[in-house]
Amino acid sequence: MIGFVLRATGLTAVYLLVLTSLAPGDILVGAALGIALAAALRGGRHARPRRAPSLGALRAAGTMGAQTAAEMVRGSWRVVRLCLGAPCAPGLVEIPRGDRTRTEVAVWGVLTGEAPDEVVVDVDEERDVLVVHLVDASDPDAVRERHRRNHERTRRQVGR
Amino acid sequence: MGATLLAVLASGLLVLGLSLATIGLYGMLRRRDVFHQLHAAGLVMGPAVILVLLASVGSGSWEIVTSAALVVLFVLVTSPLSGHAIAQAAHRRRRRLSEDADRRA
Amino acid sequence: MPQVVAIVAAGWATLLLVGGGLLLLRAPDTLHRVLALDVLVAIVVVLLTALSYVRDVSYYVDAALALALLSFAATLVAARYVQRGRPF
Repeated sequence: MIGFVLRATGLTAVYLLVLTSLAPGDILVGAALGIALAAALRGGRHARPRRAPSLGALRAAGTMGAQTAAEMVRGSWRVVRLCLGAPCAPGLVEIPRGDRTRTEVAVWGVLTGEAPDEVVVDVDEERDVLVVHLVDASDPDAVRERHRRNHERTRRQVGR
Repeated sequence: MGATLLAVLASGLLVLGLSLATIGLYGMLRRRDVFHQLHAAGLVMGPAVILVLLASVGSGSWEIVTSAALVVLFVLVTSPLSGHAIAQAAHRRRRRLSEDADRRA
Repeated sequence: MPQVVAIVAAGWATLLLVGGGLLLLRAPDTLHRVLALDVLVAIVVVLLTALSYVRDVSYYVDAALALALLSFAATLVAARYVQRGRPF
């Protein structure tokens, strides 16, 4: 139920952002469209049972957003140094998938890719690793450790 | 006072974003390897564009701010995905080429 | 923000466009070209945003959104094409 409300609110917010208005009529039309679209998206092939997002999941999303923003700033700085010709060791790093499901891997990949110094290259299904290209691959274990720690914190906050 | 501060903040964001774009472009012109260029391109497509769009807070028009917010959300989703698409293509092509070379050897 | 800053930003972005064109001309193969086009679109988005600050009109940013959408789809298809020899 919370997921449905979140989706409907998000769609309404996009409608209002396009219109740039908070007039009651616009909000009403937007909410009607948002609820209709969210209901349409719920049926069909997305009908498999989902775990409802909880308050803990929302908090985890906030933490993940903050972490991603921090990584973006740090990564931008590293890429600026690479561009200006500072010595560095770019290279591929393999990160074990761990217990992430397919959806979690997708979300993880997009959030990791936000930082310009980490580009998700491939998912190696045979060896169950994610291949990431880094600007500074001199210490692959530290990178793996950071991702593992972030993942564990998220798991703890969601409470599963 | 508040308006002045906002104007200074917006100008700063605009100049910072354009500087990042310039540095990224310089890096792309310098490096020849696809993966190195990908990082520089990620700098231009991600943070630089987002900073320039965030400067809309100083434009004084709500229509620009909301449109810019939509573009920021869109760029946040798409820039990792397009970077990944190119990286995957480059990686698989490189692996295929090295496998072909092994077979010939 | 002051009008001068917005105008300088638009001029700066135009110069960056020249750099992007140079990058496109120097690209040795298809993947580099796709990447260069992606960066060119990002610079055009910046240019359109700066123009919307100069003229104080929001439509330019909407145009930038449409352009970013098109370039995203084009990049995905082009990368797929390089990888498999066919777009889908």
